[in-house]
Amino acid sequence: MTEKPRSRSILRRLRSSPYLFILPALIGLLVLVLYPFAFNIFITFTNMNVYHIRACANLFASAAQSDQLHCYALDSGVQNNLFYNYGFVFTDPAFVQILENSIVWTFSNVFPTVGLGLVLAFVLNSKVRGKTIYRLFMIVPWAMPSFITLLVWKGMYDYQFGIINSLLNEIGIPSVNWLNGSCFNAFVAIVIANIWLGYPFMMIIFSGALQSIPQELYEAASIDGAVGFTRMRAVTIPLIKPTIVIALLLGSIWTFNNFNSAYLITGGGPGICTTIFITQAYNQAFSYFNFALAATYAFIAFVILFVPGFFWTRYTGLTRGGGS
Amino acid sequence: MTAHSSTAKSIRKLATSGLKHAFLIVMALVSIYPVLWVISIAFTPGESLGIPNLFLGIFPVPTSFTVEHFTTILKLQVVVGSNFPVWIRNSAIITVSSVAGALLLTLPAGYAFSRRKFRGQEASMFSFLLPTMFPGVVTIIPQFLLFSTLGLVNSYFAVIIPYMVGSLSLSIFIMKSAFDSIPREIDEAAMIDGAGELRIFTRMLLPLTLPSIATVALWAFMGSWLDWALAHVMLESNSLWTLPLALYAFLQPNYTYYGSFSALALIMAIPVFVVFIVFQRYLVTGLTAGSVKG
Amino acid sequence: MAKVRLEHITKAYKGAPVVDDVNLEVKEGEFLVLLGPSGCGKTTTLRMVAGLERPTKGDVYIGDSLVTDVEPKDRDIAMVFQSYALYPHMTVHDNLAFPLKMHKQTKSEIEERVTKAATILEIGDLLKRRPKELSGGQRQRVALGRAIVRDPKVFLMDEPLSNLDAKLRVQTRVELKNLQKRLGTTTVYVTHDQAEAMTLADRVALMRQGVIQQVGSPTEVYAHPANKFVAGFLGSPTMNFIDGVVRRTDAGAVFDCGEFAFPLHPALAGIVTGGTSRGTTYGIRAEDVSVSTEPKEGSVEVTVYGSELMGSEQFVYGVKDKLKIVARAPMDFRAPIGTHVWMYLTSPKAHLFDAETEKALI
Repeated sequence: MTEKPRSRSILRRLRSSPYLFILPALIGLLVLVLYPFAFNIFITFTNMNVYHIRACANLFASAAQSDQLHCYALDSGVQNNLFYNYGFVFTDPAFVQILENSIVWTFSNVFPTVGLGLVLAFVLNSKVRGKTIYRLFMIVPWAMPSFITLLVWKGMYDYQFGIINSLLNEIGIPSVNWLNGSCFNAFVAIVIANIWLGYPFMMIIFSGALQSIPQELYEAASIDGAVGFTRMRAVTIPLIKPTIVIALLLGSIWTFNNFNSAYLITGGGPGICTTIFITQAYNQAFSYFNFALAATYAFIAFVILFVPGFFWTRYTGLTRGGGS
Repeated sequence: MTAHSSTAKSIRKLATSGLKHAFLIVMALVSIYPVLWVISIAFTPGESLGIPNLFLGIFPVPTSFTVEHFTTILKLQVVVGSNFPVWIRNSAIITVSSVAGALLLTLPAGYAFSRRKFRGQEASMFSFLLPTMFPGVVTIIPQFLLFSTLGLVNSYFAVIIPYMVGSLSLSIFIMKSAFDSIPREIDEAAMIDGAGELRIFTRMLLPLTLPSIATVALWAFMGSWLDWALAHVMLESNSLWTLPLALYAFLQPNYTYYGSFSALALIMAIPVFVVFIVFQRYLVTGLTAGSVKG
Repeated sequence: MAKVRLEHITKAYKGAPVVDDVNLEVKEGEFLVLLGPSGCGKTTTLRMVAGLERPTKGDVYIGDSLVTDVEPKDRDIAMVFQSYALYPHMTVHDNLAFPLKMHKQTKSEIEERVTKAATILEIGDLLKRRPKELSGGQRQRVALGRAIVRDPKVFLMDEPLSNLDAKLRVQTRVELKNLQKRLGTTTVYVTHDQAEAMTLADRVALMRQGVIQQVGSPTEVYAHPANKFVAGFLGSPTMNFIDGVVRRTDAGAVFDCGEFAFPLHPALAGIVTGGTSRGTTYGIRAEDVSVSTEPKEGSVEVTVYGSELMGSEQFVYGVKDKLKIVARAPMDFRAPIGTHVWMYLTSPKAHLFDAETEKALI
């Protein structure tokens, strides 16, 4: 089939080229994300640590800026055994357990958080009075620095003085040793706290998605006889499916790498019960400023997340483009 | 319709409404409860985690009440080289710029992904998901090295640019979905009516996707306002300190200033609520209602 | 107002053409309806006139200008979409004013035209409302208003009535025709509803699988369909089709469909003088078939399997062996299911089609 030649000037074509629209974002991505990514992969093969990087600047003191701008990062030698760092990570006796913890951690957080956010979004989207006030209250977990709120949670879980146990006692349930007892207790404790942190965001995202559904579709469905849950299944859910899909994906990714909740409340304990991948990374690498090892943990985490992430994206058609 | 069934209906309505409110009230209480403790600490004299009285057995009330932490922070007294006007000025400038920049990057990209077809579309969309897949902390060091070489370290740009890019992952998807939900026919009708592509974008697509734009802005705002790690690495001079830097400065290795920390955390939360209230207005239902049949 | 000309318009997506070598001329001020079943290419053709789609081959002319490569906004056309596509965030007034604003009219011009359009369509009291507050019929009128407000050369309408309920649809049809005659604007209208086409059109262009089957006035295409498709598409109930051959007898000509035969009306017989060797399809509309409880020479005995009571008339459905025939009868005609009646199929108004090419033989 012969296409008719377009009589538009080249300049016009360039000006409205889609590539131009995504260019700034892509450049940002390339420079600030892909380059660090490549850099990180590189140093997984080295033994770079703080001593090597020290010449770049004083990172962890609030002293004045150093004059030296060139880095001796590359002075750090490539390991004799290229995969030394990887070996370190994989031969960690706790590796399997930690991985398991991470996966359980991710799933047990994401579904309740997304579910709770969804339910709240629905309730707040319906006829209720005082929506704004409720919403204001419910974004509080998101608005406060999690450092202090998680410490409060830790205090609440205290066996003797914690408010949770005293409340349980009031209704006749004996105190639970949340933080130093069984693995399960500790895990539940941090999951609850993390859900508390995470659902406001989901609520906001889903609220936004629900708000953009045209009113008429509801009316049309009602006329056709669908009300309540049926209508929700027929009209609403399909329309917010993209949002649910991305919420599940990003929620999982963020939870997997969420450091604060798992660390601040239990410190990874008891034992390694609540140690997840990222907290182990902190213990073994970050706290020793062993950047090469840290980068190794990060890269392994990336691969763990990338593979399912890729297939999830494909399967749900998340990245299917538009075009007119 | 007998009287019986209409009473049954209104009873059912009341029950549903009651249930909803009960649920919301519980959620609201659970949401703010831990923060009540933070508030209590902020108003307790001294810097340790004091044990407050418990009103009704659950609500923490400070044993002795003071506003010293707030006055200390706001009155520039030297606790940790405090300089509140500077911190809030820096945070404000950085955050506003980050939000503006994020919107500038996200909106055209979302438009391109929604309304255009081009090679590499799916791949580039997917690549925006990649940054989320590795722990943020790990990207900071290479970014620092890069900005070092470019001589951008210790400036506003050092943080604004990463903040702008950092929020992209989610934002682009939000905007793409939002644009997707506007029927193509509106574009076509506007085209026939004489609007060029830019006009269609500014006069049709943007007004109709305000809820999503507000969400993107809020997301970028939070990412910048509360960030510590990147700011800590990139900004060194005291004159460039942002609020989170000041906040975490209260967590010295030897001693934790819980009182001041809590007070500053609460102060920092106020703009968040203000911004949220302002944006609430834009999260209004019904902008797209009535435009398209079925 | 201007004429519209389509020359060798073709649109193809990866192989199969959706619109295949369409040549059409719409006269100035004419109301032309593109009629056909779903997927026949009528909407695509309309969109090519609008400029929303680019033809793979061929040219579009509006007035005397070649507009194939011209943007929709510069073609001086207006379009009413099936889904109305009203701007939801604007008031009715602003919806109407938008096209004028885009074409840089002065404020007073805009107000004048908007008021005029609103008056014509009787939506003057709705100007401050938003689309979501309007009923379906009102929205439809706003969509129309947006089209007429600019007084363009051509109106393009893509099934604008299909979302209205049946009664409103019929009512609006008449008003629409009236409006068009008043304004005198050339109109190209797409629909799949043949009754709608018959009411509205000055001329009808029937399309099937991307090809124009016939163009003509409603009466023309109804009474003289060019092929079996056109004959079957127009008219309700659908035309009766019987397959068979024409045979010469001493008495004249008969149509023989194997199980039975009936005489061919002399008017038709005169044309098919030698009989037909190939298969032929006999087409006759229900209104031209008479039915009676008494046998008549040349009538066919059928068993009644249903009847449709329309109020002013009824349609009786009969079956003989595998063949189904529908005939029009007065309301008081008694034809209970299962009884035998006789249908007389000989009529000068019948049609003969070649069974293979489906073209009309007369």
